[in-house]
Amino acid sequence: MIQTALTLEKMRSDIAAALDIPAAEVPDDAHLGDLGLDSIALMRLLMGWEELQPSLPSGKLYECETLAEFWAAAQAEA
Amino acid sequence: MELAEWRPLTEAQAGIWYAQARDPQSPVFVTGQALYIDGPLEAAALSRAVARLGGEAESLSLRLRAGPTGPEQRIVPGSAPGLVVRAREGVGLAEVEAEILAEAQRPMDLERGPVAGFTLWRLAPARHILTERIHHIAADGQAMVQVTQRLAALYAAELSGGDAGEGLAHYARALEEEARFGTAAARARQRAFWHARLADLPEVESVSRGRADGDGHWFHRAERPLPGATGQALARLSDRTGLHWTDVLTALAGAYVGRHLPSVASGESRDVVLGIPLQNRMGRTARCVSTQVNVLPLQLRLDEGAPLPDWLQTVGADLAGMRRNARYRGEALQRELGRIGAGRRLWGPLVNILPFEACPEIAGCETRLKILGAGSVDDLTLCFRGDPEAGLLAQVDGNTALYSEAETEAHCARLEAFLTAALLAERLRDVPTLTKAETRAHLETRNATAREVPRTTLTALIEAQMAASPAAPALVFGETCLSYGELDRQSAALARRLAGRGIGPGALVGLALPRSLDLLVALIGTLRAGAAFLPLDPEDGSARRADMIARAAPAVILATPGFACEGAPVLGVLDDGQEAEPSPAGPEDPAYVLFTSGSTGRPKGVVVAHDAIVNRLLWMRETYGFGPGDRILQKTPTSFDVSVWELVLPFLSGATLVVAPPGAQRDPVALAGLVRTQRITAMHFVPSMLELFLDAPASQGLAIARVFASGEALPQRLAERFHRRITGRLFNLYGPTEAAIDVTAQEALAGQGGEAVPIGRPVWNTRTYLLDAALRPVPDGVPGRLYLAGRQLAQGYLGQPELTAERFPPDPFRPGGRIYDTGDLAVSDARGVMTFVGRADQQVKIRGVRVEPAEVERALFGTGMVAQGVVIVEAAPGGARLLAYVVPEPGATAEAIRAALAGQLPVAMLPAQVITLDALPLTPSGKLDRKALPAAEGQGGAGRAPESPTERMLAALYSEILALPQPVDAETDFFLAGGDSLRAVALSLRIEEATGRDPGLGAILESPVLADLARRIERGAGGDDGTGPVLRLSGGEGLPVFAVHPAGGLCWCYRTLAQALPGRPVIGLQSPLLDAGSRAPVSVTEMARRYVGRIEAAQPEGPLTLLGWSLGGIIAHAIAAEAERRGREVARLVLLDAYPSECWRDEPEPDETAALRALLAIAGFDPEAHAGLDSRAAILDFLKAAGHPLGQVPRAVQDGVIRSVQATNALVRGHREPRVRAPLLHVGALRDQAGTNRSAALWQPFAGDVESLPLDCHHPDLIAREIVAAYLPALSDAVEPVLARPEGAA
Repeated sequence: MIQTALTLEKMRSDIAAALDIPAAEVPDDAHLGDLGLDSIALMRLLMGWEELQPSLPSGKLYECETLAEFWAAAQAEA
Repeated sequence: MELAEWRPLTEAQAGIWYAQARDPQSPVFVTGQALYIDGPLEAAALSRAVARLGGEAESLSLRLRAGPTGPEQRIVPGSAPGLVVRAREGVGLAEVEAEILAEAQRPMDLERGPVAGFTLWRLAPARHILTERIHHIAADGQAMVQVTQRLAALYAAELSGGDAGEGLAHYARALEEEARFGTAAARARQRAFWHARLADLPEVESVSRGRADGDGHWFHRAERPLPGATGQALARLSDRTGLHWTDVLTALAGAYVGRHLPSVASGESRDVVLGIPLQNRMGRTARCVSTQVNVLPLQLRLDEGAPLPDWLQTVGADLAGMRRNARYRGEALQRELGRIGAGRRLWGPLVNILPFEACPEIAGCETRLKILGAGSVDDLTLCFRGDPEAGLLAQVDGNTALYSEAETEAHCARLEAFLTAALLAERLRDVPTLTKAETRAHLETRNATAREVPRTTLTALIEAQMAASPAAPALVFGETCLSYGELDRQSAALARRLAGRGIGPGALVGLALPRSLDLLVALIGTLRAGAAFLPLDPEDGSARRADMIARAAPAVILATPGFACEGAPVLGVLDDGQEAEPSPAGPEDPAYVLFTSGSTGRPKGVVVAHDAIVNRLLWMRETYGFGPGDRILQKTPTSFDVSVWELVLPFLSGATLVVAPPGAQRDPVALAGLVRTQRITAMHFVPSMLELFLDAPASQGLAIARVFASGEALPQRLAERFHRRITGRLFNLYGPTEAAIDVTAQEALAGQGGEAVPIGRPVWNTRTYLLDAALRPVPDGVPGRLYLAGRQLAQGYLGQPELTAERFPPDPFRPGGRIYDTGDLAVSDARGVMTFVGRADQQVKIRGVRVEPAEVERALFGTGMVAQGVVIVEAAPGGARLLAYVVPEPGATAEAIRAALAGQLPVAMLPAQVITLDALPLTPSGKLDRKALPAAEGQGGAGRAPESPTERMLAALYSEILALPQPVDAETDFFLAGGDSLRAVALSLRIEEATGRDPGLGAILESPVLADLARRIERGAGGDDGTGPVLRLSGGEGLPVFAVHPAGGLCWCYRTLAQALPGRPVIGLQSPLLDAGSRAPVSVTEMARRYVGRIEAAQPEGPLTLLGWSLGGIIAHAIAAEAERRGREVARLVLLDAYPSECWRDEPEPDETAALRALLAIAGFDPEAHAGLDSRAAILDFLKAAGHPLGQVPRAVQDGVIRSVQATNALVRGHREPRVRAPLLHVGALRDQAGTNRSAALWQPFAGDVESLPLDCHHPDLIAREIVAAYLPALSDAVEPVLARPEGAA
């Protein structure tokens, strides 16, 4: 199934896939760096998400450190 | 957060700050890049953009200082650097790039700033280069990308008048985030993770061997794009393993590093520890211009036999773990794990992968980016830029102190080849280490030794010579001489008698004869009978010899009457017997069998065929030009294979063999006599014996056309001594008995670098391989196990086919061939010249550090206090330990030698004991006899209580600063006991409080063991306390000015002069009398001799400039004489108010009070003005109150100064000046000359040309700032006399 909109769960599952861990192991409030996400991986994620939602404020997203923050930043601009 | 106030540094910054503080002049921490911009660029707009950038990126305005509790930083608003525009129209690109590199290599002053710089180089109206430089303490590589991108955006906004978009984050965020992490639960978790992971981290080995020529302030860079196919293979392997390509690349780069570890030849090379820089920019600091990058260690356990994807998975899992714990700082781990300081690194080479697009777009222009400095290359950095799709650039940076430019280039090429092969390999084991070109060079080009050598026998060659020159002298023994014809007759008769006993090819004849004419007749007779000779020591009646005879079963033993032996018939050389026609041997028949002792087990009988030894001897004959007229000395016992060439080569050359009387080989005087009276033109020495020979006065001035050294490593130092004493050439040969004496050779010239003379390159028809444990060729510079192949290999071990098969396995590179495993380790340079580095079985680990005894031996000789010495490894209950056996130079003690070593070697390499002997025991063949060394005492050193006042002071400080329970023992290592850089600074401050002198942070980092540090503080090793033998008073590029101490022994008086003199370093030579433990000189001349040694170490060539004030002038003059005697040119000798020693001869020598009062003069006070100060306490109190450092130095130094004043005065009174050629400039103090007969003219008889510069001042003023300026021009340029002044006062 082709995803057409950016959702919280889409973000979660993308992050989990990038880290090769189950989505359940990506809580809303964990520091994503401490889950193993680095800026290279984040850059790839953001490129995918921007395709789904071109209005994403990528500058702000880089400064987010938890999934909840990502989601909040994405919604603020949606 | 108020950033205008001083604040502590982040942990990342502190690491950089301490590293920079160790070497403030190093530019290696400055990150820099050059952006090439082609197109219309508006400089004014760019300048405005740089100014706006300075407002946003606050870290560009940082200033740093050493605060009371550690380093501090603050922002000075408005101090960010503006754009500097340099017009370079019409200047060549290469020239501008050279300027840019010079700019990139300028150090930054962190305290004064600025910590950044922006320069626009205009080459043409539409061609520019923008250089950006930011100190790593203010920005990392990622921050540099942000700065550049932001600058491009600001420039675009300036041009268009539009919005520049979102700005950079405030610098305060970097500090806030660090504070936030400091208290987070994640920090404790990550710390625990790292401590668990690194608990068993092995010693981290460097892939660099020795040192390169650079100062370590910069790096060599080599780069090459990886082929597209390599990128595709990387992408495929990533897909196949499910790993990200960066992880695959990191792992393979690590495997590459593993192929360069020094342990690669021993097969232990399984642990590679890389440093992995992690960007560490997840979250709030993502857009904050600051230094965040975090280097963390990655330990790779190499498994070359595992399927590659499996091994990659394990590395991938380790990397994932690392990423989950990437916020814990590497600097903290270094501190907590005691991985700070010499020899205790937390990681080896760095592997840095930077997939980011770093090159900004500039509207209307084409841009291209070149990275100049990445902010520190400690060792080796393997960097990859780009990605597999867009293309990957491999970049190798090597620190200039550790790698040459060529080595760096070679790494880059090898890395590319290795990665390309590894990405397609099933297992790492299948991947060659070298490139194809290197493999070809190592295996083929360097072994292109093919040479037409006839397939014949020694016998045939000797017989031909005997027939050709029957009247020529063949043999000389004492008063007797045998012609070739006579030798022919006697040896033929013996051969017939041997044949009459049924002896022929394949049989063995024992030779148990002392050195004599009979020995030669017996040897040649044996060969002519077609048999092989077996040397037996006639004086060795041991079971060992009986065992050899039993195993070799000689057909007969030729011996002198009375030789007792069971197991073989004994015959005299002239004994009658039945005769028969001998049958000649063929080239494949054995020529001799020699028993080698080997380090363990029974002796092995090595069987060498005619074909092998013929190759060796004809090589030698031609290479060194032996012929009629040569007189070769035979002195080596026949049980040692060197004797074979001595005994036989003359008869292949028409030369004369001079046989030394028995026992002469051990007597240097007898040998020197033989050389003289017998006009010897070639002889052999084992280096140990050569050392003794050179020690003997009788060897001085001998002429020996060719001297061959083999049997042990030949130190370069010994080669230098040889050339100083003997006229002739010295050759270093190497080879085992198993390959017909010698297989490599190298001339040992004077003036070569390096510690050991190389063993050179292979001889004719011989191949050498340096291989790792998997029998792959090792790269140049990496020690490999030396294997031999070719015509000289022995047939094997007599009666030991299994051992033969083991030590002579099939040649992996030549089907059908054999190789011999020497068990030796050697390293090759880029030209294929090999150097022996040790035995593979003698490497040892002490406290986890790999130690090579030969390396410790080199340090031993480096002290200059050791005439002979050897370092051995002894198995001890607590693990192996090193023992040094030395024959000290006169006056040197075991304690002094060990102390000198302590300044040079890490603790693990320090011998546990230094044992002094009158002479080293030698075996009959002249090699060191290890078994005869006396046993050492029990465990020494460890746990010793602090003894000296300095040790006790340090013990108190260690325990105070590290909160250790008392008592702290003398072997306590500051860092292992919990110290870190910050505490090291605290220690250095407390030591300064206690002693009045700053020991320097470097001293603590380099000598963290309490006893070592105490010794360093007391002796000033490294000059940190200013009382060491050499005091560097200033730096500079030019040739140094050597300033000689006055009576007090210290050179502190020349500080003003050193500061005022631009361009040339001033090096003070200080008196050995300052150090009670050092041997006192007995004359000014001896003093001068020692100083010239120091001078030659500091300035190996070029004209010398010498300067001395007061009595220092007399010594400077004596130094000039000694330097000239050694062939050095003294361009200028500057004497500051000094007068020849005759002026002092009748003056009373200073008593203790006068000497004490000299302290005042040395401290810069006029003693006459303080006549009331007449006791030690009064003088020291005065100096203390005046705040002078002399008032605060330890009593030992004060005593040293007093001792020096008295002794130097005494020595001067006994001195008589020789005449020197050097031009002398005399700077006189007119006010003190008045009324005396002292004048510059007094020097006239003792110097080439005396110029006089009288100045209107007193004697002490000559070193004061105002006066120094008057004679400074004479020092600014030593070669051209530059003084313009009236003729001197006489």
